[in-house]
Amino acid sequence: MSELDQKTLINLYKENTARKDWCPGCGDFGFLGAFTQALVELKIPPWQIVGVPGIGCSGQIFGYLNGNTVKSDHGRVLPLAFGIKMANPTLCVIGISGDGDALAIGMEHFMNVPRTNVDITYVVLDNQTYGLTTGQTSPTTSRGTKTTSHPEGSPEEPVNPIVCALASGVTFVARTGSWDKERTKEVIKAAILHRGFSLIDDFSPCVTFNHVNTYDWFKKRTFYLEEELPDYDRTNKILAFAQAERTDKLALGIFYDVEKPIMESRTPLVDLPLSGIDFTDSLKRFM
Amino acid sequence: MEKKPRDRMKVIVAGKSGDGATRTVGETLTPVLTRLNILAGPTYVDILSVIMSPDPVTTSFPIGPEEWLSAGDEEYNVLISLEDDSYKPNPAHPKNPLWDIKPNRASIVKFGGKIVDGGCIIYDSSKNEVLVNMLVENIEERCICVFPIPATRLAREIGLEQAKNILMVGALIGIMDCEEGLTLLEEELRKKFERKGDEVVEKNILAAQRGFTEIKSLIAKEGGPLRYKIVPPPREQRRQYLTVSGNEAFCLGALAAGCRAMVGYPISPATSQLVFMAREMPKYGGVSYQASSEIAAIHTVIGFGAAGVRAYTATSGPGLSLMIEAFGHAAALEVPIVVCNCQRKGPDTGAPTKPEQADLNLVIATSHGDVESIVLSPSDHEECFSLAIEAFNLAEVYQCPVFVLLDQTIAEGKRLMPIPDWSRVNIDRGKLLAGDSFKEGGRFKRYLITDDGISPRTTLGSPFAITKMIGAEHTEDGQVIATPEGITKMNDKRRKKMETYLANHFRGPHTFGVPQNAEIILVGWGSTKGIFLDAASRLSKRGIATSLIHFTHLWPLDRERIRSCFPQNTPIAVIEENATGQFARLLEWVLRRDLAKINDYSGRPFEPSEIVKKVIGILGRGGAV
Repeated sequence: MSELDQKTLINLYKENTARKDWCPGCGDFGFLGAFTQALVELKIPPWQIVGVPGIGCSGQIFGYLNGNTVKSDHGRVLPLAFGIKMANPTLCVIGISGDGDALAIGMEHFMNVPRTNVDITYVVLDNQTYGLTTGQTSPTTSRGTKTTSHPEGSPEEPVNPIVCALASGVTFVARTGSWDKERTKEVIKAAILHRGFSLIDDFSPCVTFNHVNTYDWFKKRTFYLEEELPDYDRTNKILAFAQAERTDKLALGIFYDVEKPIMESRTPLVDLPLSGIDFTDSLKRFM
Repeated sequence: MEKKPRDRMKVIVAGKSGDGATRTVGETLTPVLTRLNILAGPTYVDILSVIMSPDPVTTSFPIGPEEWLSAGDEEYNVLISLEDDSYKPNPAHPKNPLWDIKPNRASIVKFGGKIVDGGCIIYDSSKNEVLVNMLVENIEERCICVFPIPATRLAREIGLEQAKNILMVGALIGIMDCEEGLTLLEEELRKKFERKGDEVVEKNILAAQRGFTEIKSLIAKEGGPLRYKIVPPPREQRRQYLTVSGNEAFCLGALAAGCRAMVGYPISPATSQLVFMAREMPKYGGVSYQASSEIAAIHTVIGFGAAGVRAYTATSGPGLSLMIEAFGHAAALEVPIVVCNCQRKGPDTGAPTKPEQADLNLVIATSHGDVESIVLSPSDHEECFSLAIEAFNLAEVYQCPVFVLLDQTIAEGKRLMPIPDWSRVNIDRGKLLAGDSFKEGGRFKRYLITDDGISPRTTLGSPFAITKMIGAEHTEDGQVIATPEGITKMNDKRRKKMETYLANHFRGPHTFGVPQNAEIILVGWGSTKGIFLDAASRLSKRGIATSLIHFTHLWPLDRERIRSCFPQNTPIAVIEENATGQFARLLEWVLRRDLAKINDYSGRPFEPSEIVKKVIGILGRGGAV
């Protein structure tokens, strides 16, 4: 399908999309733009991608992009995406969750599905709040931040998605800021091209319900790994952990990128014959 | 005592966990009984949910050349007790047989009273002889014969102590007085232990022979007429059968149906399906995967289903409860999935290794909201196979969850099944469009409104067929919608599918006997069919005409069709292994009248005699049973 040119692809991706119901200024807009552009530049036709969105503002993203979509229940993006990819290795499967979807209700899968190193890309649109339900504490809300569910301030330490991803065996771990469309797009392309499980934690500010982690807040604290540490070794997990644990500043870019064996089906299961098969071998032990 | 030896027997093999009562004996004895065509009914495996159980674990085998209607009551002709601990009766408590002997002779204490008159007890006397008459009442009056066999010691003499249970299998074949059985056992041992080397094979064979000759000499010493003689059908009349558990039959059915993905999480009594598929599925190019939980498992199954692969999960009560949200998800997305739920005694953890039929309410409700699903329940092992195929077809035709309810009894109990005729397997994928049937772009109307409620679908990745499946209420092309008209239209469309199912695929109950001539109609569903047929036959011998109406297609129900199966005024007793009469409530709604209910929720399968007694009670007839 690679004969489709970029313009045709962009039009295809933008066809039949719904009205965008994100708040003006939402960080998710930036990610959507970078994501669409990445798919176009990789020349992936929209029928070859399968978007698996979760529940939350982030989950609307595939309504705004004309590609196959199998929407997940809250927190279940990864097992669903895993099933789709195992069914058909020719599909480009991309899961997109919010921080609540991925790291609170979905934490079981965040820690388990990457261990298969199945070749899918998982994006966490991380705004440190529950926006759709109007501003409750999320797993990435920092301790002490006042929210509607913790008016005295969040009593818990936040989850560090990068550390969790490194611990659960993700073989490509990156963080992006959705305001920087160009660099976000490049990281998305690298993640999709990575053979194995790739994770992108995308800082995507919520302009309506999170008045702490604003664009300014992020811009003051973030830096690009490849700029500040030109010799940074992406295959060294210890270095990746060290950067992920930094509190003085927040690194953006690719923390970790290695090749490891992946779990996959050799052929698309959808192409296997359903009948006319000799099952004698499975009967022997019952005779 | 009878002069003529009996030609059928029910054997219970019991021992501590690890003695091999369920595994080693099952794996060696079952193929012998299969080849001789003398496994006469379903085996029953009774274990506890611990690895080192203090109570005996058991397997029972109905044996004889004629097929039994059911495995019968909880009574046995032969007890094989595998425990070999030393036995110390305590003189201070002569009247309390449990004192000091538990657990080392627990199987004699527990099952001794359930041996029928003229039966036998064989036990391992290696450490010392057991005063069986102290543990079991009226041994002599009941003409029960006790055969001490020092199995462990004899096996040790042969040089392979582990062969003690094989020695006991040899002894059992001796009780059956079936020399050919010994020859076949030797062949099976050769197959089973081949990879462990000749020495292990030979020692096991020696053990089997030793058990056989040992029992023969004990029988000779006892004198008197032979108690049992099992005569298999003549060789030329024997058929080649499979002996499978309900779980295994379901798995074979799933493979035959073209299921190429199974995702599960270990849970009794469904684990053996995961184990079976892990071994067999890769042979056919499919995927078998152990997920991190039942929640992960079912969502992965939905992923396979959405992509266009026939996929299922097998689980039991607690796992089923965890999956509930996902069932609604599959129903709203209209993704075909099959869920085989091996019911076990609830609530909560309940009794994980005991049967019950109490998950019906849950699967009918399926999930929150109004949810469409189809519920089937096989009544025997052959139906475990055939309804598996039907379930995968229905799931794809109606694009909804299909539940198949087994229970612990049938899931783990084994029975003879004819070898399936693969050429007769019908695969119906419903409105599945080929991946190459689209020539231009645009959005595929995954939820197209049609007359029968069923929308065409295609496999994900089909060029030009961009498909959106979402659980939020949606338009025909999968966009979120929240208008009253839009919501109503999609709800109606999904409900319409069930009307189509009732018209095209619903199957009414099996009817046995003539309901119009019956004094009372017995109603059941699922694995209890054989037991009810047995009860009905016993009732008829007592002059009570009954009819059995047995359901396999449990939801949705065609009320008109079911009403036509029941005469207006005949009393009806709905018999279920649950406390609340879950199916009885449905049938009361269908028939618009109150029904008698017979319920057992003790975690034991029904006994035919118990049903006979209760039916007589309902009819208001006196007399002992």
